[in-house]
Amino acid sequence: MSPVTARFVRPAAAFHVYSVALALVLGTMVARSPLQPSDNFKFVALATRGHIPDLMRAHGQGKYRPAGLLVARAVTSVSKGHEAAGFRWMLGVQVAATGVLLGIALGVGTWYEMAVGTLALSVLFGHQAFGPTTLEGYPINHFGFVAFCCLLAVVLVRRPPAVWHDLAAPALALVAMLTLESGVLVVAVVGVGYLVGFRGVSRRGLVLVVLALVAYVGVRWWALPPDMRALPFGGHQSGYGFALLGEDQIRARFVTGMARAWWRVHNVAAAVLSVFLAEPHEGRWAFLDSLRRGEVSLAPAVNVVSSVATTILIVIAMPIARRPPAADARPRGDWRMPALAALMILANAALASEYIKNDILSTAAVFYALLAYAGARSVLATLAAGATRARLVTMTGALVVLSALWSLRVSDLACEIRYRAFVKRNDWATLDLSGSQYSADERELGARMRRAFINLDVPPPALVMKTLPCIIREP
Amino acid sequence: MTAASRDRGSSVAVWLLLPPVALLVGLIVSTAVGWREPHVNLAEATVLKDAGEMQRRLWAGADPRARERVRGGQIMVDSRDDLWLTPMEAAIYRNRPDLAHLLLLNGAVADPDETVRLRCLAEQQRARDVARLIEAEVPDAARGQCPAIPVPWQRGDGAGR
Repeated sequence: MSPVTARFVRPAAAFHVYSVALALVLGTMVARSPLQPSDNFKFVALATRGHIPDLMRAHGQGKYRPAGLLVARAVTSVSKGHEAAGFRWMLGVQVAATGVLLGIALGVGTWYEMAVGTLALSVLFGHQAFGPTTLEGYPINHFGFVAFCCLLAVVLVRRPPAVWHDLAAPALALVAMLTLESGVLVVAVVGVGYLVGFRGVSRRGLVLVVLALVAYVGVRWWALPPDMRALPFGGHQSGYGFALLGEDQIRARFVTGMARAWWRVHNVAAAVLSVFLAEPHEGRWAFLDSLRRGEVSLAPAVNVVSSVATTILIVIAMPIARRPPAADARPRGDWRMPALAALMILANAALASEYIKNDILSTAAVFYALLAYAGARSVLATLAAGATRARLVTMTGALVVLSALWSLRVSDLACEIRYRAFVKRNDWATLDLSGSQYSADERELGARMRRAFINLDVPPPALVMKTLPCIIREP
Repeated sequence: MTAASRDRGSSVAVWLLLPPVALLVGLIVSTAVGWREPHVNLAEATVLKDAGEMQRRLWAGADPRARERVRGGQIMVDSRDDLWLTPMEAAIYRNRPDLAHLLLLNGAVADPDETVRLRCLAEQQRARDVARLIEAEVPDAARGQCPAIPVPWQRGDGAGR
């Protein structure tokens, strides 16, 4: 860095310009994509019917998610007939805000922190578990919202103590839990954060967060029907070994209590591995299977290689991070953040005990990015302090290759967002709304959303100017 | 951190910033330049399997029965020559019953002779789902034997599907 550049450009400012620009570009791509048709307009129609207390009681199939319905109702009333645009932009803003918030949570202060900060952003957006928050066009992206709330909780617990943090934390936890069951992870962030020594939320705030959790569990347990207490066993397909087991196969194969316990342990372990190694994919060892059959595709290979390399970096960095006692005194250089991130990945994986899906682990992807930042930062700081020239060149080369691989994953995500936008618009174009499964108001809403989404500009894959490398296969 | 280690850290940082900066520039260019709806006609949109654009062309008043130029090389990546196709022929070329359904809903076939020709073309090209759809959707589609139908996209130059 030249002295002139170093004097006039601050690393933190430069990093925030980068993080905001990257988050805005990806958020804009999401906002320019149609939602997927499926039953989305049925969900929106449900949100606009009845009174608000009815929405607060709405539940079914083990799900109690009234906050999503309330938000959908608010978006519908504010957008006044332009709900398609309202939901698109809300999703785009959510994705962009998550990227910006990660940039804030990293606490970049030096040039090399800025460099590893850009790597952490690529890890977030390129991680396969975060992908669904940008690709699945639901009116409310529940999993993405919980990941955002957890990141917000991280920022809160790491700040200097304040009374408003103690009030904001339980409110955030309640909103997250009423959006999705995984919202309990916000409680875990505050609790684990306190355990490892972050005091942004005080003991009083922690008690309020626990009370919010008790109230939520109490409502689910006593005020809602008994089938809302736990998810039904085998309620979703999930991977096992090289196979993807269907719901019936899971129920038939894991009958006894011991077998079901094994199934859950397997799922949690597979979920942890998939966050750190990008394999197994949703419980299924898909990459190993492709290696075995000699049919390896580029995209999963890049995913596995980059994830394994990053995890090795994290493992190498952990002893380094613990070694210098002076590091514990620095606000950004201590072991607490990696400990919080690692425990949160475990907590998120525990939520995948019934079945594994990438989107369940989207919060874990956020914490993996934080862990990658801590690891790369620690390695770079050690290198800068006293490595030989040869070691410095080798490690720099390895980090640049790693950064390039993760950039490729983000580039691929952008390709997939565009490709899925094309597919979703086609689905709207060929959607038949005349079926008896739709009520009159659903049909009217569906027709309005159909017209709005078809009128979005989406280039067909065959004519897209390739300004970025795409490694996914586009038919 | 000493001045020497700061300099070393900075030089590593510069190298490390190259991939993400290249990524950001690529993404911005991709969003600003690459994310655009191309100007295509109804037959071309069908060849591109772009149901959304087909619906937009139909809303804009495109004639679903008109024979239109499909640009070789750009739209027909497997043919250098331009072709003249009706949208229904393009749906048969792509063997896409969903696109054919969209066209039929918008009156792509009204003439009984044309119905027979398209059904036979679809059968001849092994686009059996499209053939079945034509039979199901168009009341007077003949179900008898088909004569040999000239294939609009085969001119002896080997241009395939």
